[in-house]
Amino acid sequence: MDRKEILERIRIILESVLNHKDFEMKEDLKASEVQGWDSLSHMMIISRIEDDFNIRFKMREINKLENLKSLIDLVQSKV
Amino acid sequence: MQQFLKKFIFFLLPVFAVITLAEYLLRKIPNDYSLKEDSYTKHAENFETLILGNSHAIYDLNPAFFKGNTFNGGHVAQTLDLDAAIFKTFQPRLTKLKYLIIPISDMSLFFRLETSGENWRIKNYSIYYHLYTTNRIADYSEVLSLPFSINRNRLITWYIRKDSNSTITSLGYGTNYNSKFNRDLDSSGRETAKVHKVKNFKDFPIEKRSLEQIIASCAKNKIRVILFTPPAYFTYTSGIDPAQLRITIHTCDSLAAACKNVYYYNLLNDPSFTAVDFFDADHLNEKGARKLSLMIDSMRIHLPARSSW
Amino acid sequence: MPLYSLEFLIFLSIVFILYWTLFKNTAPAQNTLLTIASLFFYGWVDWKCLSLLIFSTLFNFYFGRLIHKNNHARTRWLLLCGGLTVNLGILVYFKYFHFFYTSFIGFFGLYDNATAHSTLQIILPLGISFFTFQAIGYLIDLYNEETEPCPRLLDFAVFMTYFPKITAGPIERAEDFIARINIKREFNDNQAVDGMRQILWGSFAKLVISNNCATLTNPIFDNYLHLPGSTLLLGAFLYTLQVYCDFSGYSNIAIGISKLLGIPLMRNFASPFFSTSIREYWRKWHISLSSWMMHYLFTPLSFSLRRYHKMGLIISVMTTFLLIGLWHGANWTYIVFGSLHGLYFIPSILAGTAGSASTTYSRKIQLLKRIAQMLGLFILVMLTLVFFGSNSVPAAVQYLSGLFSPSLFSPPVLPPPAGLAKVLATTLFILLLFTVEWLQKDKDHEMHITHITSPALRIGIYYAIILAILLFGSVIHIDFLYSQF
Repeated sequence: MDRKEILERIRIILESVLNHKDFEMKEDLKASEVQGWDSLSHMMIISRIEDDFNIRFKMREINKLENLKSLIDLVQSKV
Repeated sequence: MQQFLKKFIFFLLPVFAVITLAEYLLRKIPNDYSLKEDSYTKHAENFETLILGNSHAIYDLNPAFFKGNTFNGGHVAQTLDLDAAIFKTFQPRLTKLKYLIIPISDMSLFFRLETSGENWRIKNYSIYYHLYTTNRIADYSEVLSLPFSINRNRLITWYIRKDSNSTITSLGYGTNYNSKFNRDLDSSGRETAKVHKVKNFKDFPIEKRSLEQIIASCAKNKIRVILFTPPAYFTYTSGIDPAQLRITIHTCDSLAAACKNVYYYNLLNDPSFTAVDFFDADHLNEKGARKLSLMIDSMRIHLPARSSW
Repeated sequence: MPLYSLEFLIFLSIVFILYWTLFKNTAPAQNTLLTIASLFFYGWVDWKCLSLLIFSTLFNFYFGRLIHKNNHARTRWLLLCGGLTVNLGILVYFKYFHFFYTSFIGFFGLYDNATAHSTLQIILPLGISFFTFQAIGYLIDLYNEETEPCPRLLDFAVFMTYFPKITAGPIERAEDFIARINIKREFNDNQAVDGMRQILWGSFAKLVISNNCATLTNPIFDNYLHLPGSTLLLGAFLYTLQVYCDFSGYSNIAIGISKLLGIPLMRNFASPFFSTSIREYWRKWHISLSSWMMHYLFTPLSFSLRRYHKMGLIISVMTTFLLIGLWHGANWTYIVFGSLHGLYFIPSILAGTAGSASTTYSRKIQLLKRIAQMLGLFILVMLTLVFFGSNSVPAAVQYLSGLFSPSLFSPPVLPPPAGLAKVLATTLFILLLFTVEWLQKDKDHEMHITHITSPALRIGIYYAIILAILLFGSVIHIDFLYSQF
């Protein structure tokens, strides 16, 4: 699966969980820069990504996520 | 960093100046503590009877109704450890003293001013009596121990309105508890009994020891000590903590039994005092104070004889 | 020594001068002074428990190294469990033993006067909740390999004992804080001045607003059974501001003091009462505690329960906030306080979204909506703080029953020593607080006024605040609420 498709599917999940589109899907995007992306939203997003891509993360992998790029890399490594 | 410090000190100079001036002016205002200390300094050698203690002393006993040279050295919330410190300070000069009278209420043995909510009064003892009992800097300053709004009012009252801040007669009796302004005895009784109930007895050993020190010093100098539990209205007495009262009476009885110079009278429920005598449920107004003073003075004169100590 | 006492002022002045003169040349020298000063400070306030603080520092430093050195997964896990057991054991023993003991025997009807008097009254060490949480976070970060072990005991000792934050936080993460102190700090005039501004604002919040609110709320909470609902509403409102100003005031003072020493601390409050949702509120209230709980409790718990979807999230949120409540104190009132906040999250979880969608309403409608949300949130928080300020759950329930009775619409009765003048003055200051917070909401802190270019105006503002503190402030010793935690 290419990065563009992963990015697009993640974008749909983010918009659905965060309930807005006020963010730019750039690779250095951080959770702290997006309104409403708190710990609770983060878990909802992670859970939706797992279901959507049919993958499973480890806690340690989640803790190491720094930005959107690292999330895409992680998803890509699992699909 | 030096530049920062210079700027900071320069910035604070006006604040320090105001605070220092306020401190100086506040200390110059005559108040109950400075006036009583002045009385001790000028007249201690003439006192034959001295009254010490807390609000029950200053408001319940009027020296004007005692025979002989009597002075009331009580202050609101003055606890026994402070009574002991004051007595120790002036005792060498109390050469004519024959009687020392101290009211022991249900809370006297269980409160220490330093650890109570009235501890802001400690500054009066350090500034005006020169008793250094704590290591808190605020306890040595008028400005730091009270909100500035209160100090501001004190300055205005004395320096602008030219009114006195003092609430005592020349013999030390407190004039605040006037029968014209009597409080409601029902509500004041309930509320005050609740406030006077202590959470623990941790201050009891210190206060008891203070009382014993006073008694021992008096014994050495042939001074008789009259302890009494002051009268209170039934709305207060019904709310007193039973353990506190039991320990108070037991301690005073024991001291009277063990020490030849000590006499104790429990006047808590004395029927001579009725509603008209009370300012609030546990303090007398000027009428009740007159009655109590005459009673205590009569007891003083007719103390039972004891073999000399 | 309270932070606003003369004794502390003298202590801080000495430390400040020594720090930037005799001890300024190297980071170890600066950290040596900070450790000695911090232990002195702790010993002055609570000498009986100084040995506990020292033990906790040494234990966690060396135990952390043990965890890091071990490569075997199961052994690392067991070591982590051991470390957490010791830290939590200390916290539970000193803070919660009496509570659990009396609750347990009360539950089984074994409680009587004799038992009450014989229950062990354990001293509560100063700041135990704060330094223990910092230590636990450190061990977990080592286990998760999110940080390296602190190389120097001296640096770790500063992390654990640092006097500006030991009493009531902020709770710092080891990696962030140690990175700030293992380099030499250079004196920065702007940073020091900014620190003074924060101290000034924190002192205003504490001495003027919080302490005056306390003199009004204490008689209301003591006599709630005899007061009309309108007075109880006033009491609840003032108590909310009292807690906020007490804690945020302390945090500002702590952060300001630390800036004087060249060490930034994390922000702990960011105008939480302008939040429009409970989630936003907890991103802005006691930020160090909520972020600690989210990172170390909520995230791993919700991750492990994610297969239960919304129910998993609800359980995780309720557990987290129940423990946030319990962290505040050993009383059922704090547990109810925390649980209520957890319940407030449930609608958002069930909706499955972070917030309501953007709308195309006019600006006026959006503003009204925002104001309504802020008011609604304030009321929700205020109700939980009634539990926070009550002695028992039944008392809090009775308070709220009285508040929501028909007497809510009768004229308020102010019990002495509260008077109308004091209530009005305090309310004016609260309005001033909200105004300043609103104007400064995008700044680092409320007194971050470097954008005011006129020095005369800035100095005028400082003197106005000092005058307000002198005229209306109360230095009567009402201790910081959170120093009991």
